[in-house]
Amino acid sequence: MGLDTRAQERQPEVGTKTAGAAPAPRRRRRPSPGWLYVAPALAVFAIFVAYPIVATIRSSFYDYDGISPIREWVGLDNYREMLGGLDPYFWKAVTNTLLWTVVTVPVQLAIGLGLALLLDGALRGRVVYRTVFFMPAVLSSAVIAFAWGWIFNPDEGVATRVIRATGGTGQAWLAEPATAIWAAFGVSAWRYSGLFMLFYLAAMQMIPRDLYESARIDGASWWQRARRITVPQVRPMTMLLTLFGVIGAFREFEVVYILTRGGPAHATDLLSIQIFDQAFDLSRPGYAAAIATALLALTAICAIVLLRLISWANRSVE
Amino acid sequence: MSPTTTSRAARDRLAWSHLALLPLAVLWLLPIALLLNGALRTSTADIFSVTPSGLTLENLIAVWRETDLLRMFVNSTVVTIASVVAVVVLGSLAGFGLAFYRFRGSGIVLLILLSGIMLAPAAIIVPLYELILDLGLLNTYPALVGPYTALGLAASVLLYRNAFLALPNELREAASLDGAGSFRIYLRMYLPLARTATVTIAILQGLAAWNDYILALLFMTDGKHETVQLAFIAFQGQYFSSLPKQFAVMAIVMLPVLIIFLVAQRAFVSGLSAGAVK
Repeated sequence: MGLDTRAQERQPEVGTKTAGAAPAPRRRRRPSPGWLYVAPALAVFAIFVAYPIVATIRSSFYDYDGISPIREWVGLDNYREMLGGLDPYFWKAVTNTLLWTVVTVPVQLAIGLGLALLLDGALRGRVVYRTVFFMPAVLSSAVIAFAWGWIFNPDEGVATRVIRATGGTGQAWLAEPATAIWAAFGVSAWRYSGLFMLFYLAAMQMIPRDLYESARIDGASWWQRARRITVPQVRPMTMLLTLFGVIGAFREFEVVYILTRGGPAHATDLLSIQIFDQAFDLSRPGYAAAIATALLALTAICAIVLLRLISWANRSVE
Repeated sequence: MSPTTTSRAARDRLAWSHLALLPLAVLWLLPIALLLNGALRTSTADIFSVTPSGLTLENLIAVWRETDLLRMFVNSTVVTIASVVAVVVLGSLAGFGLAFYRFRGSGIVLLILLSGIMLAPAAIIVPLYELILDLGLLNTYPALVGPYTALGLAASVLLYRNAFLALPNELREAASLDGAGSFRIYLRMYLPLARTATVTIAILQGLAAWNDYILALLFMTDGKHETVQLAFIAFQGQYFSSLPKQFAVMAIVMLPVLIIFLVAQRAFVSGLSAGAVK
């Protein structure tokens, strides 16, 4: 195969012991040995990820209850119900998912960058600080939801006690639609900011030190150096973290599900929670699959847009 | 930032840093401290007490004795180790294939595997559940190991491929002239040289598998294969009236990861940040 031969000339495959000799032109197509290495991973991926993606889209055209074997083809009915205003909670979840993205991503970027700026220098105890801020990233959703569930407990929670001690009345943070989503945002910021900090610190290590030296000679203050050197230099990391953050927001599920189950009154409902509710609590896996397809599409669109933006931004930097 | 250049302004700045960092650090530690504190109290009334008196290990010991937490730890360990090994083996093989050979379709294969990074597991949960059910895997370890591995492959293939591409060409040319086959080069040369990537992948995958809640909740329903993350719901009824014991269960779930993290902190930090900047 022509293409294959050229590739081999450019990059001799090991195991071809006659790599130095001119390769004879091949007549028959022969699969590259590269496939052998890729095949096991592809197989596992195909069974547990690729097939379920395809099956999700397929299921979204059916109506069934998940128990009886009867599946009724309903065409676009699920989508009509979802998009056509028959299911107001779907749009609530879309709004919440987007709100989640536009609120938590900038907050996590800001806190992460701020912490990294403060901890990049010779500060005493910086290792302890880093450890403390990064710690939530290794804890499980179950533990985090339990701990924060107690902080927000309407009767005895720490947050409630603080409010009471300062003269306010008790506050049922997670039981009030107005506060529940902000409480959940807070938990998310607490959980992931330290991870963002860590990535920013890694990026800051790569900044050439002489940039700072010459700025210092020119009499630039710490703030000026941070603003003029550090922040622009870590911009590629900011782009990458934005992408991570957006994808993370679409993946968000467990902590909110355990804390509030999307309530009260769908105030913290996310698309991922709706999928779960529709499939397993309301026994409508077909409809859940339609929501899941919407989530897949939304993720893909955001990822493509952001990747374009990142490559455009990186090009304009150079 | 060398100490010799520490001016007065820099010293002031450092002092201000603590002023900003300390309250945040307290806020960051609060939920964890609260959980541990609650686990070390015996009476419900004391859960929010902050005085050091009245701390006891009684709850932790009682909870450990009265429940099946040990079995859950074994389940979590089996599932985590199996999926870490699988992701390292499959990911490094695929990363090697994609870095070493350029073949028709390799770009598409890479793109397909990478799409897994963006995937929200919730989006495939419906057919995944049906698949596990149809394959008769409900309440078996493969029900978790399979999906965990598949979901972790994207990051693993990407990191291994990048690590392998960073190795100098001369290495494989020399080995190839010595008559080493490609598998031998993978096993004896590339895999050991990509140690950093292996550490990163093991940490990422280990945390993801150990901490997963939702797949375990769906696929491990018989009370024998539950993982530690399900401990709270499993024992909630049993300890309905004892808040300190609920805290103790969650503290036991949290402690191993916390301890491993604190001991191997350096590996976590360098592993994850190595993955971030490549």
